[in-house]
Amino acid sequence: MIYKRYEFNDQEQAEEKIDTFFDVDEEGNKVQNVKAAFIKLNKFVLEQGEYDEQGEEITPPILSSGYAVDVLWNELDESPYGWKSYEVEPKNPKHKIF
Amino acid sequence: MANTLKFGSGNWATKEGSTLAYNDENGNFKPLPFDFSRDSSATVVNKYGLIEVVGNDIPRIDYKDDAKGALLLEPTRSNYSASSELPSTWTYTEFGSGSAGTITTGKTDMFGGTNAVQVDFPSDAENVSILFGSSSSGLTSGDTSVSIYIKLVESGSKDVQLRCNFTSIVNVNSTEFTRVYLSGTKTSSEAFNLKLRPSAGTSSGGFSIIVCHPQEENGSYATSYIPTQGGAVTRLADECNGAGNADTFNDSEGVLYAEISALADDGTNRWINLGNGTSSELGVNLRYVPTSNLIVAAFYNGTSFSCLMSTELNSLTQFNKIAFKYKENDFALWVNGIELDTDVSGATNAPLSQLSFDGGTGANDFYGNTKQIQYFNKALTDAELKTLTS
Repeated sequence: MIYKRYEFNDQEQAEEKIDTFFDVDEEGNKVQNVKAAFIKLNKFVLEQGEYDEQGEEITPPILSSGYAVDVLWNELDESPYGWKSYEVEPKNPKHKIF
Repeated sequence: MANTLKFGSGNWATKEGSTLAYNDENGNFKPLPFDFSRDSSATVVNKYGLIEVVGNDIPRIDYKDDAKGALLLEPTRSNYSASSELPSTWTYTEFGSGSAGTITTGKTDMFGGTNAVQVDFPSDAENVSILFGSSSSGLTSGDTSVSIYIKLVESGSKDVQLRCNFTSIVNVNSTEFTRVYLSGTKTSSEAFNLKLRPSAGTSSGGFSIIVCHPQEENGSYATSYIPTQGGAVTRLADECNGAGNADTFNDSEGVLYAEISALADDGTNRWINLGNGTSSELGVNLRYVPTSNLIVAAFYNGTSFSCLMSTELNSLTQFNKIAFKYKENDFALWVNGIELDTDVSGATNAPLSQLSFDGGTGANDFYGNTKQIQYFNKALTDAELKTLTS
């Protein structure tokens, strides 16, 4: 079992990558074909934004670039083909598994 | 008739990787455990009303709603309120013209710890925000639910505002912790915060509350609490399946009974399947489906439906006692003591060997609460079904 962080160019690319691990059965249900948990994280707040009394954004937060996905691969020892190059190892991870 | 599988009804036995269903016919006890997995820790409300952390692969029996408890099965969720257990980072900000209020840390929380804070609102408070450690959230779009435990210091009834890009007023009227919720769709990075703003419909100041365990999660309904300490944290999904064997179940007739509630009426498929574990939806199925408050009872023989019945529940998020009788040309769906649908045509010829909280092969996981499951290997009479579901 390994737990990896990936950062893709955008959500569309991340969804395409994740979809390769799902089949569609006769009923149209997406059935996962690999034992893994995909956690779509999107972006991380690197610097807090400022908001007015209405909650409207005055200064936008600085967010991480790309689209982050954490994956717990239950039966793999390394990233599958096509994922390795998107691995990132943040020094100060802003997300973890409970 | 024989009651060949029982699960729950206050008789819980759980350990890492399984939760016990059993057959106790004639005083002979045979374990028929469900396999259980969850690749993360999780929290649950225990018998004493406190939140408790349980480790990986340990099933959760939740006592939030009932002294007998219920198996809690939930999807993967993340708490983006990144400092939910760091109350020293929480702040009181007065946007309006009122006097400064105060935050006092170290109050008893829902774990029995001291991570709750008391907020004293001055009588002239106007447009006050309690921020839970950050003003921005990594959750910037989509279905979002926020929740927090809250109570009044002195008895009364007060309205406060929850906001997270979307807003709503919630009422607090107890000096015991109550979890309040709000769901909506986010379109900005504004983090979950709690406000007192009389000009926007909340109560006026001059009272105190105690709050703990804020959560901002990615979904259309709130789930169990996920503690955070400086970053988002994810609880992974529960999976529970594989109880019983071919001797437990009768391929040609029987009754599957479940006392269950859904976590939300959220338009998703959530199934309980009695099949063979290798073919999707084969055999006996109880299903919550995308149609609001609908329960479906189906018998699928591998190529077609022998029976497909449904009925609208008053509320699927409330516990309902549901029994599905299957027998050749004799199917019936009973809910809460009433026969609500029948089908007098159809064969029953599927191999039944295991009971699962999913569609049979891992899809359509059942996320909800289960007080009990029973299986009978003969079709019960109407009188027996009425008694069972009442």
